[in-house]
Amino acid sequence: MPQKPTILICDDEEGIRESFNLILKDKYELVFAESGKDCLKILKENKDISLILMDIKMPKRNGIEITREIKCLRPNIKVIVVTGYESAEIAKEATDAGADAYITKPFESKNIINTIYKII
Amino acid sequence: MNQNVFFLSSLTLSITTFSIIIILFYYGKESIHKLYALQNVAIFLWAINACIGSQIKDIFFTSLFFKLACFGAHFIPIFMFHLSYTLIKSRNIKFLVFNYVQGFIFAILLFGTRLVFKETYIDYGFFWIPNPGPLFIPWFILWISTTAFAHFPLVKLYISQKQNEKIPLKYFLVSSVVGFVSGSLNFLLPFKFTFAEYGNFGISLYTIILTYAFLKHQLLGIEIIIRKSIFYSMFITILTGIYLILIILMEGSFRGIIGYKSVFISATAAFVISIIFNPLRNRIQTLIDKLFLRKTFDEFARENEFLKQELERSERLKTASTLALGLAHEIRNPLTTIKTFAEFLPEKYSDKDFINKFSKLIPTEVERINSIIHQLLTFSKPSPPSFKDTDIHGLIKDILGFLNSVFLKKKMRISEDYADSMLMIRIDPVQIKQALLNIILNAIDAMPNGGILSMKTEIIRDSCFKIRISDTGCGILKEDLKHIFDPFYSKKDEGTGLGLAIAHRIITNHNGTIEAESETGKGTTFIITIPLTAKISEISGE
Repeated sequence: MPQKPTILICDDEEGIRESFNLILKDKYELVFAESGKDCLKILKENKDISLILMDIKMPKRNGIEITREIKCLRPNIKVIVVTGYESAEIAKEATDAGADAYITKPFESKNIINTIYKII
Repeated sequence: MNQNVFFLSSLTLSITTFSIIIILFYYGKESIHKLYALQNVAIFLWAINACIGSQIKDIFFTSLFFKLACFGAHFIPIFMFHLSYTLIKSRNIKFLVFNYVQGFIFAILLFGTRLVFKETYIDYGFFWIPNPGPLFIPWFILWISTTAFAHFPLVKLYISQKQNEKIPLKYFLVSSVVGFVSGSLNFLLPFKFTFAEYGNFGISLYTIILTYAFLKHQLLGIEIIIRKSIFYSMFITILTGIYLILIILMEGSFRGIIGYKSVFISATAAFVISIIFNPLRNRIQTLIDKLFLRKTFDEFARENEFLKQELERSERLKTASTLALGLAHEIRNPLTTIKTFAEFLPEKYSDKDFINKFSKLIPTEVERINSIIHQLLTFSKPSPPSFKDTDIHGLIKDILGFLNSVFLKKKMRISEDYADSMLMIRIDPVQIKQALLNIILNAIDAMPNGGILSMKTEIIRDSCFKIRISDTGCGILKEDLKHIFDPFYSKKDEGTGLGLAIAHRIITNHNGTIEAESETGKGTTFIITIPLTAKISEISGE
């Protein structure tokens, strides 16, 4: 049986991390980070991560900054930016930072699964 | 008294320029206003001396007044030169120095020699004009050249300007052409060209066109000054005309009665009229202010009010947009959790772990949404302050007492330095408590590893109460500092970003001010000033 791909979920809110857990735990290996700093640390230690679900508004360093850094360090890792902001400028900023997709909250679980499926 | 075209044109010009000079020197603040006033001084000098000179036939005085008039005329393009170089912001000093040096050399030649004017005269009937000397034609060429040089940078600027920017300068240049061409006609006076007498009307036209340009296109930003000056010039001209006609009529009728011409009668008539002239002038001045200028100030007031409303509207839209963006984010996060858990509820109804998480997370998220809405309502529609005489130091101590356990837990030390009296000020205690609490909570968040929270109060000149709340926390970045009172602007791990916005709104509603000073790594100080609008009751601290 092939190994399930690993997804890193980076969000400072427990509710969102638990929501992703509900939607994705059957299909993917999940790793959780509560901040951008955590995310970069986990990424260094865990080489199996193939996709990151990244929140934008997080304390200290925002998701866009972290995405930019990740894309410099490991350009092969896919990043889906997930945010409550529904704005063309923020979407453009995320794409410019190297994000592969952009999903707005509140999301449909089907939508999340389809987007991840297409990207991986 | 000899009335002629030259006299009338010079008189009109003197009155117009004199009025502009007085008002420009009085109200004009910028160097450009002073220069335009100086140019008017030169025109006035020309006009008033030509006006007086055209009333006398005397070897000494005709020569003196025409020399003074020509001295003024010579400096018209010189000041114009300075004005236009200042308008284009040129820093070429050499040209300016040369310009003034040639002006003073001419003055020496004019007054010290007979090279510009001879001491023989041409009879113009009512008055004399001195005969031109050998330097008269070179002077005319120099005058024309200075005029051309003065306009050269303006023409260059005009060509380089965009179509829609050209209009004010167009007026300036057209009026200059009219003024200087008409003015140069005066050079033909010594050659007995009678139509030259009309030249000064052209200069008046120059002033009028330029004034119109100032009014309509705000060329020098002195429209209100000019607006005043043109009204006053107009009525002074009208009154002077009436005054002259009255003297002539009275002189004529008295001569008819007594049968001979008498200076005494003219002088008596002038004296009588001058007595009624001043109060009449004051009345007309008041009437003009009332009729024209009040309307102008009303227009300005209306315009300002409109601009203020536009600004407020745009500020409101900006705040609404920030609010909407922040609100969307703050509410969508808990909504996502609620939506996902609701979606999985039928499927995972019997999963104990799921139900545990559901019962822990969902009420928290619902409460979060409720709290955001409550704060938003407080921010957007705060209840009007309900003012009460409040012991402000007692109120501060209450807040600190309420937070005591938090200070202990966070290893924070409190430093208190209060104004040396128990002070009752008129505030809404509930709202001020909320504002101070929000600021103190912010300070607590800035010091996660402990620190010192300082509270200092003082009374400024018996009119303001000042509170300084300082922390020794991480500080706020310079680029964030200007946004800290914006709703939903937060760099903290927790919170909605409405706390400081609410504090700001409350202090503003008390007609007070709130500002923050911060140094990264050293801490932040919030300075709140509340006016002591109601009476202060001070009781000795003992």
